[in-house]
Amino acid sequence: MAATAPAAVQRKTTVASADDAKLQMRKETNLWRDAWRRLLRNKLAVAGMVVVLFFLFLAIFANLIAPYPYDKADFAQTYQFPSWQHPFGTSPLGQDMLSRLIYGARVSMLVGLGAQVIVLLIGVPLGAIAGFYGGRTDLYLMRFVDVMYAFPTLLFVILIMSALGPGLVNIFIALGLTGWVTLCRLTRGQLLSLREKEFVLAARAVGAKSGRIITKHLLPNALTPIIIAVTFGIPQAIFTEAALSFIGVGISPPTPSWGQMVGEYQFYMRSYWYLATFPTIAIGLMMLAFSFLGDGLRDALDPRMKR
Amino acid sequence: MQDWTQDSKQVELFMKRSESAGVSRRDFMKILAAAAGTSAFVAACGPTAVPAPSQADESAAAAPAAGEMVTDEQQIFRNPMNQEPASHDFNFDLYCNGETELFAGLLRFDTDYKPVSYVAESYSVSDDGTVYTFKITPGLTWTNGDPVTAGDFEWSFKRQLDPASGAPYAAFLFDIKNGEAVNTSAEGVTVDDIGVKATDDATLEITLEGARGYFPTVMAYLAALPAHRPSVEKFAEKWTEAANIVTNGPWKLTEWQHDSHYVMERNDDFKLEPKAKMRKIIRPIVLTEAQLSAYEANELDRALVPVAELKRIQADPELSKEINTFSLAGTFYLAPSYSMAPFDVKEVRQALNHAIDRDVIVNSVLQGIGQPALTFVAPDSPGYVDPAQNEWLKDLTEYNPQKAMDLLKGTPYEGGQNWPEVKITYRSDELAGVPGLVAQAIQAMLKENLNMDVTLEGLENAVFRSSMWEHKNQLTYVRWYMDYPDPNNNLFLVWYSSRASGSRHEYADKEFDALVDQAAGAPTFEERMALYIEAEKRMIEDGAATYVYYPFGVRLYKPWVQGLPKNSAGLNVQDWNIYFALTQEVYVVDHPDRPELS
Repeated sequence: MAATAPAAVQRKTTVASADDAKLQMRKETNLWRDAWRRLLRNKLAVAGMVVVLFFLFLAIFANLIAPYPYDKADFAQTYQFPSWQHPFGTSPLGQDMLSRLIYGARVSMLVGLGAQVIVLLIGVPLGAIAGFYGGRTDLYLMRFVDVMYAFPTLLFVILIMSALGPGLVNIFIALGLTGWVTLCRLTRGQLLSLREKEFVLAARAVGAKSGRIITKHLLPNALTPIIIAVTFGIPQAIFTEAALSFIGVGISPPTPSWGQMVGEYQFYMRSYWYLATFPTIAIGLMMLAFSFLGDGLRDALDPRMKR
Repeated sequence: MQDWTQDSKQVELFMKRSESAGVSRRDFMKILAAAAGTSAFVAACGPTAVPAPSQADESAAAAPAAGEMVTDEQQIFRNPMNQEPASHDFNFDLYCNGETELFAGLLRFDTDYKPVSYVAESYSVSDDGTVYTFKITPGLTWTNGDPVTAGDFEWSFKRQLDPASGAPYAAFLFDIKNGEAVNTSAEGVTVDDIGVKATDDATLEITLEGARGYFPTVMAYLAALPAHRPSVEKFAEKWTEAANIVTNGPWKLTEWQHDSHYVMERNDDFKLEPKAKMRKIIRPIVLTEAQLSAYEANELDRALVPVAELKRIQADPELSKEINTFSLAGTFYLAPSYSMAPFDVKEVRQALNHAIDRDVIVNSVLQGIGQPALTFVAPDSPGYVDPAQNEWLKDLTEYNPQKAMDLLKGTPYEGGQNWPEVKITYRSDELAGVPGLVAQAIQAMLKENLNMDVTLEGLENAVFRSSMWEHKNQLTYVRWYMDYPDPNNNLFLVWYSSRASGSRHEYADKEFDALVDQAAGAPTFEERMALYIEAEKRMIEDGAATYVYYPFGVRLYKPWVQGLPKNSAGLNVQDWNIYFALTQEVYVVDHPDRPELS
């Protein structure tokens, strides 16, 4: 397209685009600072962030914080109601429930973040390629994405898990393989509009290769929606892991997972209320915290969304 | 009520027969799934018993001996079931989940699980033990007035064995001469060659493949219930609908509203003992999980208690008096693979027996709803190996981590080192998570005592079955519920290896097989039991299995339901998978909370 334009016009446009790009970059550095300020003004988002950081802290230092090993069965201490010694009681095998909950945070965080890494690694490059190159590449990739979209996600994840077997890494894979489509579409949409911007033309005119244009010029501009999507993806992944473990195809014991605990101890609700209650609260809290944080981030990063 | 898929032979045969009958694999799976549902029922009830017999006695004694029997009009029992029966045609499908007490077989089990006379007033055995002659009680009738004759049983047994009828569990009658040959469509035999013959209306002569000392036990089992020929011929598979059914038992089916409930009324023409004391039994379909709350709302007269609810029930001053704890006549056990490391090493298999603390599993983890098991045959059954009288059991099975470690000396795993990946496979969709819970306890014990890292794999029934039968599991944790109370049921169907149809586990030992064969033909009961004990010892010596516990069940009965049966040892007996006459024994007495029914 650019080749057909008269040389003079082309040169002029290039200059303008370069200016635009510079302008845009300056704006963006401001954007982060503005966003941070806007985020801090949002009380719910700050509360969410605090809770997320708290769980993150538990996850990272689980081995230092947990009073007992999570898998240590003490058969002299089975079915103990909450006490000073075991604040959240003990499991039917005599394991300390508090320790299991703390290690459960590690599993949840790993799944939430790990799965999003895979989602990012698959979704963003594919979306970028589709959006930037367009044409047949785009057509085929997007039809494939449509096909993936057609599968009910949870069922598809269960299918993959039954094929791979339970385990943390397999959950990453299963969630990654199913979760990337949304991000792929999002990235493609962003690039589709960005690639027509003049600064891209400018970059091209000074001889930048496609790879450089995508990574240095297009993706940084598409970062905001990607960050928001990932923030919302984390609780989804955590919840999916909980659901998988609940039905017994996720994390297998003795590795603790909140979902697995709820699934296993749901039957004990009326006799030993504490067994399923605390993990349920933990899941709820984590989900809520991420949702608040995600909402806050979206409002902060994308002021146009505000009414 | 039991899980037919436990039964190696049946599954194999059934699959084979299904194929030959053109039944697609999908249909097969459907039936398997249905069976899984059945076992879910078992599962839900299983987890519950409080084992201490003293406690069971206590609760029974505590039940208010209350008032007088209520009028016959009010003798109504609201007895839930877990799922819609496939039919009531036990002669065709003994796991149809229907009502056993609509029918009366030649023999029945008493509360001690002994076969006693029923439709057959007596029977005799030929000297070589191969021919049984049953004398039919005179004057018995079907509910339409037809006389009950020896010919009814001849026809029924042949119907079940005839491959044309496609009865899925015909293998239970394979001890009858030519039964297996005819059922598997062997060359040169026809249905007429099956060794069952009514020599006159009152005499049934059954010729066996060889001496089978346990044969009366099989005849008391559900597999030997009769069907009414004219009804079957007239209505085909619809013959057990309420409008069509003709039966010969203590109860009549008077109403069957599918997917909702059925109703049975006492058969006043029934001449055998025990006769029903209640007038009517209403059987609504209530899922196991929902039974307890319906019971507490006084909509049911009995309910199953899941193990997880036990604590609450025990703590409740009213409900705790209504507990009825009973043995499920079954055994949970670990079966190691013989072909996969590390269990291909005999010492490792043996070490398992010493590395698992069964007392802790039963008392601390299961809250006492079972009894530690050292051998396969449950204490309810003849052939139980009493540890008090069999010193060798202690040597082979006592919990002793040091001994377990000592056994590993000289193996590649000495000192608990170099273990390969070990996985325990168990069935996850039964007993409200109890098998998984015990598997976790075993996992912890193997780690603690043998330094063995074990992962767990819980599979749903159909997948679990096939993985066990294809010998894909490294270490299987599974249960066996006795079909009929004879060690033959356990040892032959689970561990016997010389069968064309395949075997449930990998253990294959000609000597063991020979002992089981020998026992089947042993002339006296004592010799038979001695041989079975010998066989069990041989199997345990080789580490073929580590038996873990005998599960108990817990039911609640409203205080106005009286007459609950006990065995001669004073323990509760329930209509589980062997004894079924409970519905004839119970009756209703006056009680202020009892609702008026009609």
